[in-house]
Amino acid sequence: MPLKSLENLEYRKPFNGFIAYYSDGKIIREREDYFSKVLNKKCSTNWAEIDKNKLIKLELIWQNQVKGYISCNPSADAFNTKYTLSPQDWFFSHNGYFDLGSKNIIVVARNIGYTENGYTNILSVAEQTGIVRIHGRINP
Amino acid sequence: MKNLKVYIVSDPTKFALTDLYDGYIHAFKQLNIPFQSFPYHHFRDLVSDKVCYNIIHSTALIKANEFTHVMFIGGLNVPNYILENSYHLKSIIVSSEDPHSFDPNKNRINLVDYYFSNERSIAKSGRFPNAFYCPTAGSSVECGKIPRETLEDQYKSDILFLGAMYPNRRKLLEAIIPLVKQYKLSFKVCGHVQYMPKSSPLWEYVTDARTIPHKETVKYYNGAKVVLNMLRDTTWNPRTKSQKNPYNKSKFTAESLNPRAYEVPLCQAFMLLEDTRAEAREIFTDNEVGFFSDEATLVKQLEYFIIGRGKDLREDMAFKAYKKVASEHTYTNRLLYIKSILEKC
Repeated sequence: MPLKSLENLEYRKPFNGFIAYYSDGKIIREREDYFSKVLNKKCSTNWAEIDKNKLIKLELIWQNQVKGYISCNPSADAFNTKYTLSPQDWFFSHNGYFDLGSKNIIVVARNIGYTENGYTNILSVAEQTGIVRIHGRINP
Repeated sequence: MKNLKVYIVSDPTKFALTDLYDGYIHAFKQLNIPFQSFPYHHFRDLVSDKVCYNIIHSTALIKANEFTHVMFIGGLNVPNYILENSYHLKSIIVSSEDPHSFDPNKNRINLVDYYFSNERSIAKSGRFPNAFYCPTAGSSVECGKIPRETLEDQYKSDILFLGAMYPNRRKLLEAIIPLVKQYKLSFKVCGHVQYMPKSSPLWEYVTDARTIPHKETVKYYNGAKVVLNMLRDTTWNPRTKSQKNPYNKSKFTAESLNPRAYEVPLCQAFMLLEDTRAEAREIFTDNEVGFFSDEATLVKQLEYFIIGRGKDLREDMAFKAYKKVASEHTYTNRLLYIKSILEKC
């Protein structure tokens, strides 16, 4: 049986999740099923570990493609239009459910967003299809 | 205003105003503004209009309900006695109108506390101090992207026109028939086609002649490569079926867009928009939608966006338009504006 060439082998599945960019050049990717030292518990992501004081850009990636981002620097493509808002008002979250069959947490959508005057603007990317949805909610 | 609580009443007609009503209901929920709804268009099937308005009037006035405002969507059919006898309540009309359909409300607008009109020329004419400009919008709950491959074939097309067949629209659509035939495109005409003469060659392309429910409208938009949005001819009247429109005596110019202009982008579908009204190019840019002004430019644009180089740009442009509408032109944005006006005056 002939060996497959290295180029044809898929070592990594396409990445879905956030990429956080720090002002010092450091880049942090989302990690799932992460034990957070900050919260001292197992979390679905490492978002709690992100230092928002250093954060300058937050990207939401689906299948290695940037589906949306929030930035401190003005850009026509950014999801946020007001750059005066601090990264302290940014957020990342998952929507999902616990699948009783496989005993796994199934991610339905990943969201990034920011809060302005008590209203949260959300950009969601569906995990299966990559469809982007922009919506909002009032913070309770 | 601390204790805002709104009694929202739908329009009796089961037409585009029902979408407006549903959009505002979602917005009330999203913004956590206390409200109670009265879906008049459903009640109308059960009881007479007179009884419906008696229910609305008495429910609105029950003090235990603690309503501060009663909000009518459309508002054309609201009897004067309700507006005249609203006592402790403030009345609101949120209308979606053409300049000529404003005529019946023109002489009684002083009875309403807040009149929100989607037609900029009416609201900003300076003639009505209680009139405010509140454009139509789309609902991000009702509209959304559906993967094309999951749609039934009946909703798929290359070119879609969905709406009432006003003469100006028919003229434009008839002009694209040679292009459709030349490239064997799938062209669908849906909606109210009863105004179309029997001799029109467009009948061949009519696939769905009814008031299309909103859920299906969303499917049609999602299934089309290009959705055509032509604005109504305000000089033509469906009742008299002539170019002599007896209404619009105040001669307001039509400047504003229809709800479709927001609903199509919310479905992340590509839209070709007629730019004969001022708002078209003020709200959208060439990077978000395609524009046309007449038969010649429509054919040119269709050729470019379906067969030419523009076909690779469609998805990107539709997403840019989506981003704009989803963040600036939803009923939630409109309700935030209405709330700010209610709190101010």
